Amino acid sequence: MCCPVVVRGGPPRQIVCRRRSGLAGRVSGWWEGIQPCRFPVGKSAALSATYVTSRLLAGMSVDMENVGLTQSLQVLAISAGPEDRFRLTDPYVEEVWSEFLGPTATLLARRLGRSIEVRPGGQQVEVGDLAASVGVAPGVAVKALARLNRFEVVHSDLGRGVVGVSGYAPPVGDERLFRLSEMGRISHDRFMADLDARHIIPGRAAEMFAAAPTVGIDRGVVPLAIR
Amino acid sequence: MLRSGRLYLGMDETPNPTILHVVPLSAQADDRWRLSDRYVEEVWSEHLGPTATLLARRLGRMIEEHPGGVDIDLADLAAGVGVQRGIAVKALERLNRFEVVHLSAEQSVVGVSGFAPSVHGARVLRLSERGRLVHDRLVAASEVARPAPSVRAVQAAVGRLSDRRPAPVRGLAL
Repeated sequence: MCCPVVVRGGPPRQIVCRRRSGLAGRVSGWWEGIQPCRFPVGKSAALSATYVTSRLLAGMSVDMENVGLTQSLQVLAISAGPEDRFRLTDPYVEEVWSEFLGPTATLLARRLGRSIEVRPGGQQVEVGDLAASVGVAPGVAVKALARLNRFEVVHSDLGRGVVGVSGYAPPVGDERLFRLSEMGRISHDRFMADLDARHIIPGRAAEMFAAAPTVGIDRGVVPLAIR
Repeated sequence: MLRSGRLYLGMDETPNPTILHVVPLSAQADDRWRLSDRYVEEVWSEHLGPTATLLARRLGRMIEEHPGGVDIDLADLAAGVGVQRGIAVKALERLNRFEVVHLSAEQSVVGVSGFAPSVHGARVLRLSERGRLVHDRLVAASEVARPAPSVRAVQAAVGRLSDRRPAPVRGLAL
């Protein structure tokens, strides 16, 4: 059965998405040769189209053989960054980061944060299940994961089906502070003042990994193409 | 209908400040979950979608912090969850349809009890497998936390009902 997404090669080397005409002709890549793709139809096709598009827009390569197979994600624990100060399940993420992340990415961040707290060794999740649990289509969930990666709240390499979660997020950076709403800025100031009052130091997630050193993965050591 | 109400924003309308009056409502008999509980985030979210879920949590927290009600700019509410006003209005409409919060678009009033009922009936069947598992687990945990009245207490209550008691005397106006 013919798939709705067709990859064309050669100059000008474009991905043409027939079903989602809004994307047609907008994405230029470096794809070699002409190759009608062999994506499955239905939801998987929509997922694959979104995935390929987001990868190419980000200037990354696409392993076409595996595109249709990336519906299963391995959620892994990674060490927290030096700026990470808030748990993903803290109100800070929901009340401040949400203005940048949007609702789907915010809920996914909370979900992944809770998941890594409950299972520090990581777990396998299906994109479809993850998406259904927040009430969206798989393609929307994939976009939200890409968004979390862009804002460095969660780190993902969707090509390899890996999502790295420290369970923590940094405060919104200085340049983004100016783009927060007034309510968001007030919340940010309140949460930061609360942190300072409690003397929470950056990178407190290290405690979690010190307790279980074999399950955490050091971002700097493991050669995952996550960062 | 929202389209005839004050909350509706057409494409050509300028986004004037729209104040929403968030007012407290009494909870219904089957409301058992706080809007900020995991149940709403992990079970109701499958039906509500992410925007409505986040708004429900936000409204729940709002009514807990301001039990007498609070006025809020719709634009602030929408920006707070990272969406445009129109999407926030649709999400409020959705919350109203599922009776998680109650919206009167004409009066720009959102009634919030702070609680939501369990997903029930056919909606349970439409949950994902994981959603059903979480639903069952949380409901079971809630039942344990709130035990049914003991048999002895029920018997005592029934016994009191069957006791002979003198009928109340009413003063008649002669």
